[in-house]
Amino acid sequence: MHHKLLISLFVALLVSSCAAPVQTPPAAYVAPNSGALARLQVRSLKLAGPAIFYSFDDPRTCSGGRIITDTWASQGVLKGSTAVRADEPVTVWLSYLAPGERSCNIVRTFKPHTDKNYLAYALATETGCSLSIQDITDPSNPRNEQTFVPRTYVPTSVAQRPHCVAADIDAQLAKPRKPNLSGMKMEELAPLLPANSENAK
Amino acid sequence: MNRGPGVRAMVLSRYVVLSLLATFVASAAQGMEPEKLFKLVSPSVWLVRTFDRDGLPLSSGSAVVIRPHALITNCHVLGEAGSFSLVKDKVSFKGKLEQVDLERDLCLIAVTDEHFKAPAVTVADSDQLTVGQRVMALGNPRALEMTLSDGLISRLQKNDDEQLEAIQTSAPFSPGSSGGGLFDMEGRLVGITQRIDVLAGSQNLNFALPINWLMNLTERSKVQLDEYYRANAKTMSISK
Repeated sequence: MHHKLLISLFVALLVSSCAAPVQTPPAAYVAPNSGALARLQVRSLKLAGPAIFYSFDDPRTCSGGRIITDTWASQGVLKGSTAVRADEPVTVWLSYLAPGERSCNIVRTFKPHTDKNYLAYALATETGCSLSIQDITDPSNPRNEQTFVPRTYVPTSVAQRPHCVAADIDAQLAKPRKPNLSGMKMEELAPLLPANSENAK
Repeated sequence: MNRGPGVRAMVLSRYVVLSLLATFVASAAQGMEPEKLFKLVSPSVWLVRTFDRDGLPLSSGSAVVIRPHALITNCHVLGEAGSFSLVKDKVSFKGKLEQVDLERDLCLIAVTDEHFKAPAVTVADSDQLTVGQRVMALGNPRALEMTLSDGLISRLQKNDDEQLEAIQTSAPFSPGSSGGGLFDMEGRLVGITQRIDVLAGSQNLNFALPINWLMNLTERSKVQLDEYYRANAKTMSISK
């Protein structure tokens, strides 16, 4: 009972800036038990504030949020393990309320493969949070998941989801993700860029 | 058989020549002294000073001359800049961005000013590097011009196809070193100093980009720029 109340309070805090009334907290995630499946494990170090790890019924529009695990279930850490649908997009949402009521929200989509084992790892500091997903099917050789696509988080009311824009998520998932060592977008060099080349016309 | 004094002297002189030769070969294998190396390569390493779109100072980094009038640096050195200059010994030249490989964080800069006479460095084959090999980093950490540091190649980071992806070195570098040179003890450029691991508990984990990546910079830049221009043209036509 206490647990549910805390979740309701956290959800209310997350959406306190929205006009729409807060309804019941999101339902628990129900793991699929047939078809192509993969396993998703969720972990974090001990977090200073409350956190919830969700998946969505609709991974494209991020509607129908379901709680996979939260910090109340395991004394301040995220700890869970569940089956997820394989070979189709899965969108996860890490929502963390840092001390001082600073919220941190990360939404990511990836495409798990059949029978693979994935680890979603949440890290949080006083100023923010991060989320990684690794393929740990071979635990001695964990690999960063290559189909891990960042989504734009759109804060809105719980009742009114979506929390992310659908955009061209399928195209992005299909495209192999290239490392970007500069961590930059071309726009950041815009004033310096050389004139357009012939091929771009 | 008893050897006369003349034969003994000949054997001795041969021994002396061989010893001298061995000393010379050994010192050649160790490479040049750091002072000599600095003298050789420092004219080719420049400070990059960036300015925002209002012309106000923004940040600084390093760049290395790889051809006459052409320098290589890290793209992140130029991030958010409206313009930039190459600076050395209080002399400054305007730079122009020519090629961009954001994925590998390598950008090619041109300096068209005819007074820019900086010599190009010699480039080594970074695929031939070995762990334990001594190297020197030269750059401008915190805008402290021409800071030389030394270390070893600590690790060669390779991908699944055994291609070199990063050179980990114990030669320390700091913010502002980005785009500087990592040199072998022959004074040849083996890498471009790019990043440090700043996670709590990390010690002296520094990474440079393999210099062999220069070989396909032109084509990779073209692909990335064309993709950007195409996407931009599409956005512009949609917003019209």
